[in-house]
Amino acid sequence: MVTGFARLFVILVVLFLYLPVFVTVIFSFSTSPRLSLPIEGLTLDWYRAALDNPQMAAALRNSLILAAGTALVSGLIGCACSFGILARKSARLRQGLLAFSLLPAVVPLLVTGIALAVMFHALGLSQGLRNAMLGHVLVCLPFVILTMNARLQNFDFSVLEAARDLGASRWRAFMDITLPLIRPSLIGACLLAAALSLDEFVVTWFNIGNQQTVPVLVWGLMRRGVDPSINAVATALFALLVTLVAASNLIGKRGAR
Amino acid sequence: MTAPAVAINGLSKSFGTAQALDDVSLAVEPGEFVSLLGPSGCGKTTLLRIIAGFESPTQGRVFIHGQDVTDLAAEQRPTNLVFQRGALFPHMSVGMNIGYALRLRRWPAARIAARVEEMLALVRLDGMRDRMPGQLSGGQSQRVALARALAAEPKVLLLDEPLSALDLKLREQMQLELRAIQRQLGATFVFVTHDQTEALVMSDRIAILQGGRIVQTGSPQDIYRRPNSVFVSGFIGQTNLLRGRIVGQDGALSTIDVGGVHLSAPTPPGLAPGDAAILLLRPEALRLREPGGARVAGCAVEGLLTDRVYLGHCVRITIAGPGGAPLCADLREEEAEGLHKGDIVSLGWAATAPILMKEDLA
Repeated sequence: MVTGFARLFVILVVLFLYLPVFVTVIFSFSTSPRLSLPIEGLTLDWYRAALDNPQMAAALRNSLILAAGTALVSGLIGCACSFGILARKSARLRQGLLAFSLLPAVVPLLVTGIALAVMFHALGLSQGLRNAMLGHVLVCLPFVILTMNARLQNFDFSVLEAARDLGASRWRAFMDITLPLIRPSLIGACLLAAALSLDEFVVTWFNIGNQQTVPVLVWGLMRRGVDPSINAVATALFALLVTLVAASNLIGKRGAR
Repeated sequence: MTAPAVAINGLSKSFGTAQALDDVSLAVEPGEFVSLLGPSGCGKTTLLRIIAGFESPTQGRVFIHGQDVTDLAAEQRPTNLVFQRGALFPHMSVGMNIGYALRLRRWPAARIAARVEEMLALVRLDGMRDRMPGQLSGGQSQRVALARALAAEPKVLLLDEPLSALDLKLREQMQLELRAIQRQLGATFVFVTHDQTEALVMSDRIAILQGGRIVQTGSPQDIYRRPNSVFVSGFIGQTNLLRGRIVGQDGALSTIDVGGVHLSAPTPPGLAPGDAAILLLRPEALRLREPGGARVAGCAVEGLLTDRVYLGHCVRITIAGPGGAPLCADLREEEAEGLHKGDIVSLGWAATAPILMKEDLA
């Protein structure tokens, strides 16, 4: 009896978590322009419509530029940062530095977004992709540091000493030993940053000015009513994010072994 | 006169307020196998890391074959280190690991390949060139680490407890192999260990460290037979300590009163009647005597047998010695036959066996 109730509860929670996504995915393939059941037929027209929208093409390009740039910049900075943290000898210092670098992730995005907008304005930097990119790096960095830190926990620093001892300069030791060993973790963290950047909305909206990314465009379209092509965009975005996060985990785990 | 392979002059090192090394000096001759032996925290690993170039001393200089290397980085020193847990490059094959230092020195590929094979043969890992470190056993990993460190012919090889992670049987075998390799190459080895047996088996000379200082340096026999302190004698092997006071001196022999029993021992320099002193006796120097048999004056005690332990190669008995101090003796199995707890046992020793020293004033 108790187990029956518990099972029902779990099913309800899972439905609550996944039903909206599921509905969106289903209706992105439905022939009917209205969200209604039963589904009359399947089509890819909404995907075509979304891609034909010239605004969408520009937004997609911006989103990809932001994602790639954010992945690269926050991946490199985050990796170097977590390496630096782990190399500290004192465990308390390590814990402190880690907590300190994760703190920005707790600041509400609204606050981050507005604060950046005000700061950029004060610095005379006009709104645009550059500002949005800086915002994305700031938002993604804590997560990159967190995952890199988890994966580098078992890094054996004595192999670096061994390389130096055998005659390698700092640079050679980094290229020959460090980089090959951390590459999977690094790529995993970069993919995670890309995924976070792709669906970032709040900070982007405050800083991108009159340009658009996919989430910003979708938000604009939603205000004019739900167009089924939005379902198509959302589904495509969803698929891309799932792929990125899954790849990030798989590649990163291989490196941690 | 040729310069020593390693010369350490007045080395001190402190980490914050903690003094890891305190005015340490040591000279290692070319081709010598020297062990730095001491309990954990005595500074032996710090000393090795300073020689390797991973730590810099607070004071003092390090010379290698006469060259002052104190300010050189690890990669510029003619030394190589074998790490405690190998520290093999996990993404490189055994061959790539061994050849790494040679590739850095831009040796031609053919010469590197030949040298790698030579090193593999030396550490008896022929045919393992293409294995990855993850596929090696603990003993094999340490052999690869040794081969990798020796490949570029360092002037001095430093070893940081390389055998401590291996099980006893393998460790004993590797000790002999390591010593054979060192003799074969005529190389200078500085070996850090906390295992006294390891140090005795392998070394030409042992330096004992305690609290950041070298307290005694000497051959394994010197250290074992003539320890200069209670600490050294207790650290190297089992020792019986009999505390008492010097009551008489007759030239080469001194008499010490231990709980009312007078024992005699060779007089060490600087010990006069009335001084508090300690008599050291190794358990294996003690022999069972017939009760009531002729006794050599001052070289025998009698006491109640309190414990009897079978150790395989001998039987260790403990008697309540003079003044109640426990006295252990390692007897042959047949010698100890018929001895039981509660028996009165008489133990004797050769007149030259005991070592007398001044009580360390604590």
